[in-house]
Amino acid sequence: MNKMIRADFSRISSRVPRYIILLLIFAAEAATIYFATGGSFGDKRYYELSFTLFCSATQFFIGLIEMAYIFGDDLKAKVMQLGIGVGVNRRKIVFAKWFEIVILIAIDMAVMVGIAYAIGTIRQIPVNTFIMGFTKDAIRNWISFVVFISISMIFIFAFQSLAIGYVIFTIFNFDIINIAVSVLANMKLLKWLHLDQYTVTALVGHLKSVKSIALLAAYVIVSFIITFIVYGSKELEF
Amino acid sequence: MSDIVISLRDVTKRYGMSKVLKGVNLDIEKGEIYGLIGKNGSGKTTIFKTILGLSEFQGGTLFVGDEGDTLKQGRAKIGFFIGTHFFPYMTAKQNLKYYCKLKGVKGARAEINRVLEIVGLKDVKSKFKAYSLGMKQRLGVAAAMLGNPEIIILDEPTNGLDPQGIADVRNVLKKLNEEYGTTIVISSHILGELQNTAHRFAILNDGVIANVFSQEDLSVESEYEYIKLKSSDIQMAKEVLEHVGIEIQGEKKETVSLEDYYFNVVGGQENE
Repeated sequence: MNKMIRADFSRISSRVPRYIILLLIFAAEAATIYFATGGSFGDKRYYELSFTLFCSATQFFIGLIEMAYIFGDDLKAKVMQLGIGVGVNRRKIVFAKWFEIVILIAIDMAVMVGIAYAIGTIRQIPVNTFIMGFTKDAIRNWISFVVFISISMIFIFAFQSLAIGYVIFTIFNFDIINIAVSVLANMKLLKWLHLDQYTVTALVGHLKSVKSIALLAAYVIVSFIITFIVYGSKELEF
Repeated sequence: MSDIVISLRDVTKRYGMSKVLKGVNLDIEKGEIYGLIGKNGSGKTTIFKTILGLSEFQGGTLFVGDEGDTLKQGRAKIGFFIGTHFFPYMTAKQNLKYYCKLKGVKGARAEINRVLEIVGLKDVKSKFKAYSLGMKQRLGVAAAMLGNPEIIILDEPTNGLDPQGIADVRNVLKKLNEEYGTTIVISSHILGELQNTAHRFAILNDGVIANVFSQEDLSVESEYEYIKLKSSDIQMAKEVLEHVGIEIQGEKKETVSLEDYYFNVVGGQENE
């Protein structure tokens, strides 16, 4: 599994288009924060708001990009079959891909926090009072992403299709699930279940609670179990 | 006593309701080139996928490797070519570098140059997506050879190759076998080519191995032996033979093989 992770990171690190796209996103973040804090020089309120909004807005696009490079190329070339052929267990392949993408997203989030810090410093904003909040925002977004990608992976591996994974990821990212759950939660028959408390968004909003962390971990673990089952018995094409 | 490195016993495999392998029994000995023959859809690729762990079988037993090896250890000794699975945006070297990292091949740079030289792709700089079918097949064979595996499995490696490419692959396989003792399992529809390459053959028919035979068996099958005569006066030679009681049942001119004729015209080489 370690060999696969190293091989994949080595492959992805040579992909110039990926760097270009990410650089554009990071440049847009820098520009957004810079110009948002330009009207009133050192406006702390717009500094915090611009980072939070940008982070939430780009999480989806960054997710799509990293999914393309981690899963897309492999699925197209059927290279994961090669991994199985050289002895990598299917479960380890699932875990390797998950690990690779959550690490890449963590790095991307860290860079975004770093850019916010840098721009704030340029704007002479007391960034130290904001950096903890930005880091918490980034972590919350990252945790949401980890859960969403874990669920999306069920479909990616089951159907050997990135497109279906994109659809599932989009449904979760645009709160479609939240809306559906809210509607169900308001039904008399289901109200007592308090379903709206169990959505990923709700749980991520209460990260200080052990129950929330446990439930988020449960989402990931159950997703893995389902993925192992559907991928483990799947006949793979050549 | 010969060593068996791959053994299937009563292996069954179904896809949905359709039973493809109905009790396959197969023994492949260390150091031989083993040819697997069967029509399209007979299960040749399924057998390879089963050996490699790419497809689970429902019944029977499978052994791979040396005595005492677990299935995982045995499979780690195999290099394989079942279709061409490469990243389209990467060159041959970059793709093989990925393979080397995945397999844990030491001395990757030298090894990559070695196998690419063998298959004639060392100087190709373009990306995989620009390759012809033949080039893709060659790269697949090169990948199978990385790390000098003890066993190489090749599923129709000469598909799409020109005559020079087919000869090159044959010569490479023979060299690997003769110099390194590599066990090679190969399937092909080009029976003449397989006959030139393999030591033993198995015919897969209706989900079972219908027959296993060797090069020697191909000779024994014929009732007759033939001799070749060279004479300035063929008519007189015939009269002499008839005089001593040898019946001449027919005669034909020696023909050059199509492959030799081709190489004479284009100036290629067989390197045998």
